[in-house]
Amino acid sequence: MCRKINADIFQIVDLRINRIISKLRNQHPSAKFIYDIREPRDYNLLYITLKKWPVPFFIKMMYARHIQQWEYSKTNYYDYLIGVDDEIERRVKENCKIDYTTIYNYTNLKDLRKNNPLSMKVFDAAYIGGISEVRGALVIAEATRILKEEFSGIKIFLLGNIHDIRLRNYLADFIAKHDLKKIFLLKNMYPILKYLIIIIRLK
Amino acid sequence: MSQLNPPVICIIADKHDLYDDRAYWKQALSLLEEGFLVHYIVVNSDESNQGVTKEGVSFYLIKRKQYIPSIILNYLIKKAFLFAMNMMK
Repeated sequence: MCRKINADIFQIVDLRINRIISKLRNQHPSAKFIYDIREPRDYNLLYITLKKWPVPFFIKMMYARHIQQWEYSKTNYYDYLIGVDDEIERRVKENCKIDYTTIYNYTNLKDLRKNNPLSMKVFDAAYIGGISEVRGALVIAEATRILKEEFSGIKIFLLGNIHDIRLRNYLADFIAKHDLKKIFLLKNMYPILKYLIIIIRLK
Repeated sequence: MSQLNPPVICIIADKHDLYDDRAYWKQALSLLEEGFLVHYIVVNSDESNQGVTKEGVSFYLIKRKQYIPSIILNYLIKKAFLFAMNMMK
């Protein structure tokens, strides 16, 4: 497939593609290769992917570290690395020798909010993406509880899937216990149009 | 950027689907706007398919070969199969 396309630039988005990166490079010697390096791989493996594996923690930790080092070693096949936040930048600069740029993954509001008056505000802050402990769901919940004391009208919105059932139950209990039902809203992923409507209502 | 011979970029994803918020809506479409010819390959798709999206991105969905549900065993079977094929050559 790649031979047929014969691209000038290849952008690799996921870790597993690195299994064929050396082959791809050999097939396309004049092409440039960019790797879109994602969130800390070892933490993700340890606290999300492998969380429920019935294997001792230290083995999971060794495996997660091994995969992370494997990913770093594979970056040598690339011409350029891109990432989405400062933490990835810090890790890349510590572990890789390839040039890197952060392209923040902020929501692109473009012209949607040009004439958006404060009276239209529905939410004070929103998070869009997979909801997990590693991504700060518990911190946001706790922050909402604290902010509620100071700002009674505050509204926080988390839009995304919660794959961890324990986290889902914990957040449901937390919301009930601290009476946050009206100010801390959790929703599963919407189709993109509905999600744009939420963005417009942010201030 | 010249439209006669536009640079070709190929995005290859495995865990992200075709209409991924970032890889498709932000990156692929921005590249398209800048005059690139964008191809998007999704290796681990539920179905095999190819075509051009409404926005103009050429896509190739490749269904992953899965012999058994376990990812690890599936990987090992594939490796064994490839090894056997190489031995036969």
